[in-house]
This record gives sequence, structure tokens and C-alpha cells, in this order.
Amino acid sequence: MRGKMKLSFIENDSVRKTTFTKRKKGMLKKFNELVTLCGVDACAVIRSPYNSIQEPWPSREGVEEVMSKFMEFSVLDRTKKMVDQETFLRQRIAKETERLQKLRDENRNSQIRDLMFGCLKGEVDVSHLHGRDLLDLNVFLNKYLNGVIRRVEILKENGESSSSVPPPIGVAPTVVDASVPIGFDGRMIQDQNQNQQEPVQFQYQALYDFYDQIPKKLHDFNMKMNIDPNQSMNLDLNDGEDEGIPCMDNNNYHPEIDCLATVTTAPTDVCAPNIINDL
Amino acid sequence: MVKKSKGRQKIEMVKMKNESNLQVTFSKRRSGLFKKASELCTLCGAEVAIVVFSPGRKVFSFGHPNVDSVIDRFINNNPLPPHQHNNMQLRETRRNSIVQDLNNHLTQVLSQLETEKKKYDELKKIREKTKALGNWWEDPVEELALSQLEGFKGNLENLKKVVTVEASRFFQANVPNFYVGSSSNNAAFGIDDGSHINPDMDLFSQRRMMDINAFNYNQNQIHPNHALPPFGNNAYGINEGFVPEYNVNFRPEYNPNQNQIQNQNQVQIQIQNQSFKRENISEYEHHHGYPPQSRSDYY
Repeated sequence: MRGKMKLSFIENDSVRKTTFTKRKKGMLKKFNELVTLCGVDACAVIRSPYNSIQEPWPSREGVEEVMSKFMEFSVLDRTKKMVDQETFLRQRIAKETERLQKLRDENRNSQIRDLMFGCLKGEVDVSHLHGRDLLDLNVFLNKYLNGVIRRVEILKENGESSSSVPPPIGVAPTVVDASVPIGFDGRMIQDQNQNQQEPVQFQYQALYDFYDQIPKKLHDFNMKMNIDPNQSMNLDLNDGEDEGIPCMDNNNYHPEIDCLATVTTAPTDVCAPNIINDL
Repeated sequence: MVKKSKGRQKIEMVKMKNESNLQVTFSKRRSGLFKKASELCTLCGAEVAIVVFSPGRKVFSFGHPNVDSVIDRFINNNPLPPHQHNNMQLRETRRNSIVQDLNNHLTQVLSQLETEKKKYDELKKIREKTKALGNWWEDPVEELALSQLEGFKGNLENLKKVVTVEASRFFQANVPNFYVGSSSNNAAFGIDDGSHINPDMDLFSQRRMMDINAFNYNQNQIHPNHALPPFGNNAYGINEGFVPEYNVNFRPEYNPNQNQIQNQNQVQIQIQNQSFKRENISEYEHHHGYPPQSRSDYY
């Protein structure tokens, strides 16, 4: 079995000469195949480095004929598709790199798909995944879920009758949901999930909006400072308070409770005792 | 057996009749021919020039060092290269160096491509093995029935919730300043302190639901808290101790505010400018909702 040949100048003269002869023959064979299959005009000139022979193909007259036809083209048309070895190699590198990237993306999608089904079957624990896998799985899951939702809508529009096929066995999310805290904390987590079910792009937009608002707030604050002289008096008083007893900070927190007392909702009632206990 | 593709299949060596096939064949074989020529130049130091006219009457050419010089030398029947000046020789050396680097790069890309192909084959094998198990939910979505899809949709939504929670937890664990302290607090106080953090997030949600009058009421409460940042900027002795704590607390508040922005967009379909400004002020208040609490923990 021939090893993969290193693509560099062959130093050994005899080996190089043999390689030249064999490869030249192979190249000319491919040249002939191209001309025969596509019925096109072509010519080639090969000059070996160690003797003075210049070998034309198909013949000297053939080369001259093709070259005269070549010269009839304008310089622009001639050079448009002309490549030297450097340019050819760059083009080839770009093409192979593109193929490589496409194949990598395809492989990544396959991996994430297998991971998703592994999670659904309970073979994989979501909490053990790495951050990068979590991100990719989240994106893929959104796409796949959107596909399923669209399919459901199409079938409903067509009025297809449903058949009784059982859902998959041993799905991991059911087990994981059981461990989620119930009641207040559970509600909090649900709210958080609802917020984060927005598209990733929207989150970026939200973050962008948030950053834009910071200078505006500072500007508003500075305006108040300039307009209201009494504000300075309040600031001084606060400074005095800060110098005093630490429990005064708790008093600063006290208005929050009064504020909450105005809202009559069950979660607030559940919250208040916790805050008092902590205080 | 008739093959479905033309891979590894002998063809008749005559001109092709199908025009589109002819175009594709020309393109592929021309590339292959140029590749062979390039390898010959690299390995043996030969000089090559190839000129090909396409079926569409365009001209493609490959040359090393370039088409014109090789063809000119041939037509002038000048077998020996002219005596090379120093500049010419230097240019030749530089070109060879560039070509060598490009060849190395190409070899590297091709080997990586080979690795990815092997991985692709492995994944394909795994998928075929999985398909043999007869798991209907791994079939393409278009092949499933309505009831299957609805059940499957529920499972996917559950999984999505779990993944989202885990992703949030993962990224929160990477914010070092605030959550490291929070972790130590949890270690010190156990579950209670952990449950203590969640109510604050709920407080934000509740404040979001208040009407304009409630905002006015909050606004009266805001004034003392507004005092803190500029005093932190001033060089008062006592507040110097406060500044690092404030800076530490400032960073994590981005996260709840981001959630608030999303809540805002969900709860209020239309936002008036006046309400928007007040909500901005209210959010500014939220920045200072933390410092008293944190200072309590600190003391």
C-alpha cells in the first residue's frame, strides 16, 4: 500500500525523474479523456527541469493552432479564467475549507439530535451537560419544536383523524420535573422559563435596549440634582444616617414592606413572613 | 445491477450527448487536470502550461510559472531558459516559498476534512443502529401522525424547560463576584438563605404590576436611595468601605433587569412615554433595592 505522498519538491534526482515521467503520462491521459468526452479544443506544454525537451500536446502544430485561437481573445477574457499555481492553490484551499465547515456543521447537528433523543429517553441527564452543549441543544430544540408545531397545525387544518399511539416510554423531563420545588419557588421557576422562552435574538435585543437605558437614567438623576436644592439636604442627612448604627439600613428597607402591604395578592402574603424572619 | 450514482462507474470514452452532463463533466475534469498539473510542478519542478476552451466557448488556463512565459518560450523555440538576473531568481525563490506554504495549508485542510468524514460515517452508523430499534419518535416529523405529534410536542416542551433552566444555572455559575458570595452565604445559612433570594425576584415582578399611583408612591421613597452613588463617588471616609460592595452588587442586577424588560414587553402591549419614563425610574430604584440587604448580611 502506497503511503500518502508529501506534497513538496522531491530532492532525489532519480526518484524525481521517475515521478515526472509517470505523472506526466497520467496527466496527459486525463487530458485526452477531457478532450474526448467534452469535445473541446485544448493544448498543453510541459517542460522538464533536467533536459531541454519541451513536449507539446497534441502536437506542435496543434499547440500553435490553439494558441492563435487563444490570442484572438481579448486580454480581459484571457486572464479572467487564467490561474497560476499560487492562485489555483488558494482557490482550492478556499473550496476545501468551505466543504470542511459544512461537514462540521452537519456532524454537530447529528450529535445534538442524538443528544436530544437521549435526553427524551432518559439516557442522558440534562444537568450533566456542558454549557456549549446546552446552548446548541437549546437552539436545536427550538428549531425542532417549531417544526413539530408547524406539522401539527398543518394536520389540524387538514382535519386528519388522530390514531391511538402511546407516547415514548421513560421520558427524562417527567422525572426532572418531579424534583423541581413546588409552590412559591416552583412558580418563580415557571415565570423564569416563560421569560426565557423568547427567541435568542430577542434576548440580545432586550439586552441592547437595557444598555441604552443606563445613560438616560444617569442623565435624569443629574437633572434632578441640578434642579432641586432640597435634594442636597436629603443627601447630607443620608450621609449622617450611614455614619450611624447599621440597623438604620434595615429601616431603609422597611418602606419596601409598607409598599408591598398595599398589594393584596397571595404570593406577597407568602413573601412577607420570610422577609421579617430574615430581618 | 444498475448503480444509482455515477461513482466508481466506467463510462464510454466518447463525446457526451447530454449537454448538462457535459458541462458538469468538463468542470470536474478540468479541475482534476489542473490539480494534477499543480502536483507535477510541485513535486518535480516542471514548468507546465495548459489552455482549454470550454463547451461554452470560454478559455481556462493553468500555468507555472505562468501561461504566457511558457508558451512564449515554446513558440520561440527557445529550449534553454534565459540567464536569470538576481531579481528574477529572488522572485522565483519567493514564489516557491509561498507555494510551499499554500501546499502545507492545503494538506492540513484535507487531513481535517478526512477526520470529519470519518466522524460523519460513525454518526451515520450509530443512526442506522438506532433506527433498527424502531423508535417512532426519531422518524422525520413529516411521517408522524397527529396524536403522535401532540404527545411528542408536550415532551419536547418539557425538555425545553429543563434545558433552559440548566443553561441559565450554568451561566449564572460563571458570574464570579456576586454568586460566589451568594454560594458562601448558602453554605453558611443553608436552605433558608437560598429561598430568601427568590422572593426578591418576585418583588420585582410584583412591582412591575403596580399602577402609576404606586409608582408615584415609590418615587417618594426613591430620593434617599438616589443619594448613595454620588456619595460613593465622593471621598468620604465611611463610604469608601461602601463603594466596593456597591460595585460588587451592581453587576448581577443586569440579569433581573433583563428579565424585567421581557416582563415589560409581555405585560404591557402599548407603553406610553410617560409610563416608560416612570418605569425607568422604578428600575433605577431596583438597583438600590439590594444594597441595604447586602449591608445587613455584611454587618
